[in-house]
Amino acid sequence: MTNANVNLKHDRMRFIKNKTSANLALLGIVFNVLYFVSIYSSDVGNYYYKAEIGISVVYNLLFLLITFLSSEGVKSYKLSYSYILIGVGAMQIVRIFKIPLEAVRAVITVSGAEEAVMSGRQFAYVTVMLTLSAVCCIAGGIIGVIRTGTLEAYNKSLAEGEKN
Amino acid sequence: MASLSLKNLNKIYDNNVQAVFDFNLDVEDGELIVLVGPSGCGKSTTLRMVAGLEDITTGQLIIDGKDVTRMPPKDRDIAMVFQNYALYAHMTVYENMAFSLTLRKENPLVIHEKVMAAAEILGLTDQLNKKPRQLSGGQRQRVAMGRAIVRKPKVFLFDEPLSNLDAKLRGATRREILLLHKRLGATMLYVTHDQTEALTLADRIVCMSMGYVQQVGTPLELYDNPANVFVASFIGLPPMNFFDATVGEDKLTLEGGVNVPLTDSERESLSAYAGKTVTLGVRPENIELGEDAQLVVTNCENLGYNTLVHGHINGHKTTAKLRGWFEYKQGDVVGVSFARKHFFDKKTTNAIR
Repeated sequence: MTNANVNLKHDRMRFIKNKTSANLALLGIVFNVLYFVSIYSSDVGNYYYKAEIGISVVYNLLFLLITFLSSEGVKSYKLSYSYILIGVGAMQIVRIFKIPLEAVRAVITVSGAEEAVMSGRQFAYVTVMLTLSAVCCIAGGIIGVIRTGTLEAYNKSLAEGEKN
Repeated sequence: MASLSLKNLNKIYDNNVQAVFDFNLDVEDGELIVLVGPSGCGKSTTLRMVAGLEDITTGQLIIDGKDVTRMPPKDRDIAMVFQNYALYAHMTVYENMAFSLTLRKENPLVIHEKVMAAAEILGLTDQLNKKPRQLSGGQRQRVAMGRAIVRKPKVFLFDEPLSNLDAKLRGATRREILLLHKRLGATMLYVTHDQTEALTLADRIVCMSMGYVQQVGTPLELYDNPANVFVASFIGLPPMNFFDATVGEDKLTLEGGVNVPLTDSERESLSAYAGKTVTLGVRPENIELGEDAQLVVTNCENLGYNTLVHGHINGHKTTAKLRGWFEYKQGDVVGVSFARKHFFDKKTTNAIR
């Protein structure tokens, strides 16, 4: 890409929203929803009926809210929302090691017979969903950081050009 | 840009109402043509036929030598600016202007260049990140024009683009359109019912009534030599005064016995009408203080440089636009004469020349 085109591309950013990051964040929400509707579908012996389920539900609501707000924030090149999006994405990775991993390892005795709470297949599915959600959020955040930095530098160069 | 040729265009709606009769017009490359006429005269229908928004019942539409009569609107390479702007409320000015090019999947950098160039021409550079609701009416109309400009169409169509603006803004935007036309050298078809817009903008005016073209000509031709009573009454503000008058040897006798002297050239043009009744037309600005007739004043409007004197001459409603400041009262009698007269055949209403 020539210098002129690079400049044109940066200039265009002043008027075009960062839809890539915003859409990635929304996609992150979609994968999270797919994870959430699947995770409690095999409740063997009321395994999930403890305080953690409440925390999990509340966290999910917070995730939806924060990620949606961040998607709007990164759309307008707000740096802080990009960092929030990266943080939220990292938390999705952490979540894999909490409920899904514990559930797949858990064995419950029901009517004298031992039963696995979560099948290996379901574990693979929810892990993939959380991972995809994390990847989308982190990628959206990183793109947001890069683009916001580029735009700020370009705006600064414009301001300096006007001064001179 | 392109030339445009409308040949025998007719529009008949499904309910058998004919809106346009045998419309013929050749528009040259870079010309600004204004279609003017009262509501329902068929001017917008004609424009919509050119745009492809209305089917052409019979006739031929040729753009740049190519017959586009049955071509869908998107393939005609025409851009239309509407009275109500037709902007997308959820998009910014930039996005609105870029939208048509985005739909055509043009290179984003090329789109950006075109939008910025159009914004520069229209003075919208500082407004590009705003939504339409944050703009004034004039700015919104400029965005609508910008959306048309970025496409670099062969022909621009304007459908009463200034009707939603207040008087002051209308004047300013009108001047902007004129500058834009000069700058782009674009072929433009402009519809309005406002004769001031027509006179100030047009290279040529097409005056329409009841679906028929009444006269095609330059603004000066329409003002100075109207083809018939309709054009004479429609072009000019305040409108022309009309009197029934009998042609005498060297004078005209208005109803009620007022005699108006004729010049040699007027006598010559009326030679075939000796003893007959014709319609005499006099523009208010062609009435001056004199002794030909007595104007009985009903009211006066002072406009600063001019005074509009409304009244009657022997019972015929008359408006005179006198240069200067006059303060006549109701019932005052003012002696006037007619500096320039227009004559029309009483039966056909056509001009007598």
